[in-house]
Amino acid sequence: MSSWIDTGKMGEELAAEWLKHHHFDILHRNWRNGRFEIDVIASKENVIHFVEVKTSRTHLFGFPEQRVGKRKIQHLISAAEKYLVHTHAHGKIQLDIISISISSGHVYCFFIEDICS
Amino acid sequence: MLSKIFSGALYGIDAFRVTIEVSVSNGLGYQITGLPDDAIKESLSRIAVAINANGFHMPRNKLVINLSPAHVRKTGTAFDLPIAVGILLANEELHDINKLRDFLLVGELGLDGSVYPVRGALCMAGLSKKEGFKGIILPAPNAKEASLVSGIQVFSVRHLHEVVEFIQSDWSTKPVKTAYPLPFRFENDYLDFKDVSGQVYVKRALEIAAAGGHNALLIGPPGTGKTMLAKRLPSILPPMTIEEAMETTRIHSVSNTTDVTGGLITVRPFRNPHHTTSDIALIGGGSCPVPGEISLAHNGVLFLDELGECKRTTIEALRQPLEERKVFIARAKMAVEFPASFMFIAAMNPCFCGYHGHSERQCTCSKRALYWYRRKISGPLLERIDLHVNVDPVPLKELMENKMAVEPSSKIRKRVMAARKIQLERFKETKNVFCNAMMKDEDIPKYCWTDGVARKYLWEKMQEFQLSARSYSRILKIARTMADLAGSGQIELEHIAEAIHFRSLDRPLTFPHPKQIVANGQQNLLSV
Repeated sequence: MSSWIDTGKMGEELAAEWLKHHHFDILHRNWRNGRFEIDVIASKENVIHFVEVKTSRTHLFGFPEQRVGKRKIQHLISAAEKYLVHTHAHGKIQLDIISISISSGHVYCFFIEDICS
Repeated sequence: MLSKIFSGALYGIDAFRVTIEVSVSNGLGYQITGLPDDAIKESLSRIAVAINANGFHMPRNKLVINLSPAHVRKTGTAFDLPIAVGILLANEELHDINKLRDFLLVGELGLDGSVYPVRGALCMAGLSKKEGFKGIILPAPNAKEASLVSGIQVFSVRHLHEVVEFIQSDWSTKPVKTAYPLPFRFENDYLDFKDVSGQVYVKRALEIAAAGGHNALLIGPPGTGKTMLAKRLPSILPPMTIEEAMETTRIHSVSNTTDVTGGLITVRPFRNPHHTTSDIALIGGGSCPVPGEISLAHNGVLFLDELGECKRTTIEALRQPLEERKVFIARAKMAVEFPASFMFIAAMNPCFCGYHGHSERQCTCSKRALYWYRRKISGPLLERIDLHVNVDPVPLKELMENKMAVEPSSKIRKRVMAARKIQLERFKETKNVFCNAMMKDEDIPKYCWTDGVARKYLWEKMQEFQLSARSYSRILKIARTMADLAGSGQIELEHIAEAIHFRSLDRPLTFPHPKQIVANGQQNLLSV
């Protein structure tokens, strides 16, 4: 019955599908370290993408990405730093948002690249 | 995707071109650069609502808006419309056919997409002509004012979707046109001089002032009709020339008053600020300077009632603009020059109790109080006022019997207009000079030539009253106006004599012996 958790989980599934479809390699799903969490970590053309997935079933309250605030972005940056320390990964990194809108069976994915540019 | 829209921003009474660049790229969030003020910064929320309300969408990626040149601070709300259109083009909501490349775009946007008027539309229209644009698109209320600029197309819009239509399709609306030159008409709701009985001497002084654009100080006891007479001055002022009207409209266009939406200002402004007015309100100023009362009275009249009650600093601030007919306002952010060529008319009492020089009532002020009151108006300022007019009380007989024929304003105005016509002919080759009071110093010997007797008389009186060089040139200018009113080509002795008579306050303030007052009876003490 906890529908918002289901929506979130479904969104993350859909995001991973979308990334695979666009030739990303999925490295981790829901990577956790302490209080830090990253929804999807993927790589493509030697760039590591840290992806935050936001899903909503209605646009009545704005687009899903509008619910990513400054604090959340800061959290994502810290998590990415932790990940790099732990895995000794090198190369370019990028922070992205996948905004998923589900309405009456239709799914719309909007990929916002490089939110810290 | 990048889009470029041209707009204009105000700098004093001039406008400069601002290129609005909008970029939609990877990333998140909105940003506005190029030294915007608070009104522009908060415009983004306004624009976002307006765009969404009209069936368009704001970009979901990173939006950067740049106002170039980026080093000049920009103010006002005129950028709302160009920014909104820039966003729509950059976000590929509209198909750009490069139509906007030839137009300036200005306007404030409401939440529903309505376009509201902006300040300085006339200057912006002038800019679009200067910079070689085909025309300007601006809010409908500003169209009349902007259409005064010939040689460009002026399109008026009322709503965001009209601009969208303009960009995407062949616009069917024709540009706004104004009949040019405009017919100048007189307003008939002026107060008339025929309401004032007696005071022929003061009326003559105001007629001279109106004819030559001279400054005047009315000084007299309370209740003698100083204010009443001054308020009737607009009814005898000559009509403005096209150049004067354009310049006055430009100043009113950039000021915070919105009285220019009717188009060209054809009636000479009559500004009457209260005597508690601050220096800045009178002269103009602010961190981004706006014109003050003296500039709003450009080519018209600034009437300061109760001059003696005004703050000393306020009065003294008038010194420079009275002489130079413009005011230069320098602030940390910018320095601008506003034209301020106005007729300065002031009214005041001769002393604190108000009855110094009254024919029947005794003045109760001490000698010291009298000096103190007079010291409020400094010598240098008095020198800059051409006509010092003593307003005496109207004799009771004249007031009650009402038998004397009183001249209506229309008659006086005819004489004033005839005199002004002679002056316009005289100064037709001198730029920005329209009347005798504006005459340049180098032109005084040329136009104010006097013959032997008049010259000798002037010489004697100058020595007797110890008049300054400035008083000398003022006397010649007033005499020139009097000669113009009389239709005389040359300044005669009577004109010089009358002109000197109007410089009564240049003489030192003297106190006659009490016995002398009794002996002289009705004589005006101020001119003793």
